[in-house]
Amino acid sequence: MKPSVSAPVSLSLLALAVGCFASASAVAGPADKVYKPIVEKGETEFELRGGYRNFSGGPDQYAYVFDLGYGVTERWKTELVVAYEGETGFGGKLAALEWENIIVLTEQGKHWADVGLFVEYEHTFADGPDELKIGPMFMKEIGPTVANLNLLFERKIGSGATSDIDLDYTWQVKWRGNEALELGLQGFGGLGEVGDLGQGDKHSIGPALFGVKRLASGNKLAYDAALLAGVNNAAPDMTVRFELEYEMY
Amino acid sequence: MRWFLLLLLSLCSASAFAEVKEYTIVLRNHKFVPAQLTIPARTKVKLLVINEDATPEEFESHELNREKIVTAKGRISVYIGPLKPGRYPFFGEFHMDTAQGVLIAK
Repeated sequence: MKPSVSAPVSLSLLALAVGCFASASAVAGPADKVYKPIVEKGETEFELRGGYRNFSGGPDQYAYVFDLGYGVTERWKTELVVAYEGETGFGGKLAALEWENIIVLTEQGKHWADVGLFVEYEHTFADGPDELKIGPMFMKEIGPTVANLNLLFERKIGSGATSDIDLDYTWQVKWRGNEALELGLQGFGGLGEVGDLGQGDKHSIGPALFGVKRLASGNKLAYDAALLAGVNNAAPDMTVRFELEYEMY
Repeated sequence: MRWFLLLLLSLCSASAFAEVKEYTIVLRNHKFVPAQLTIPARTKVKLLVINEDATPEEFESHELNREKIVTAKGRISVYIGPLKPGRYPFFGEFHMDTAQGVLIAK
């Protein structure tokens, strides 16, 4: 049965989680994605994400992520993620193991907007501290348009960590039409360190494609891809990213 | 931080106290009963989907932007709308040959 969590209680949990976290300055990685506050109980997901970004003043970066997720309840999906990344000219390596969690706080469509909480613990294989990411996810439908916004507060944890907290964001707007090929926009970036927002901020934006292919087995193959242009000097000049997801029940 | 929390509360409370009319659809022998349901246009409604079958089903509609698993002998609520007048097909993902239905908003 679906857990009964009222909107006020859900918001209190969200407020507590965000409040406990309040201040780090990270940049969205090339394989990052836009998360949605939706969970399908009992559904297993295999996901491959990748991205490449070009910097005019330095080596290009690339990353691939393999993700295995499961909808434990109607309100909670948990995912295990392996990340591989590198820079042109320097080779690539396994970079991190991540544990992602999506917690749905409101029933889809019940309120003016749908709200969820994203929580991720990232263990890096390199020397240095691990990282905790936490933040709200919003989704709003307006007619045939669906808009998503993720805010991610990021803080280093462990040896060598500072108390800084960075605020990153991802968003997308999708126009629903033919489910095999839909158009939209995506944006990825960082606002800098909480308490000093706007310093060192980075923003990328560009067109995106989305689609779903239903398989005879009842399973689904979903994809999205985007070509993002940096809108300020600190952002990558160009980013190409993609996501492939196989969903089975 | 206070502004942030107020924003969250306002996002979610706007419709929290509004009365939402409820409609029921039953899944029986992998068919939706009724297979056609009329709902008011431009009004949010709650669809209660009751699965009487012994196997799970996924209520899905691209037009409604909804997909939700309903377990065997289980029930789910699906909030829909406000919709413009029109026809909005839905189906059961696991039995698409029989589990077909349509919401008519008018």
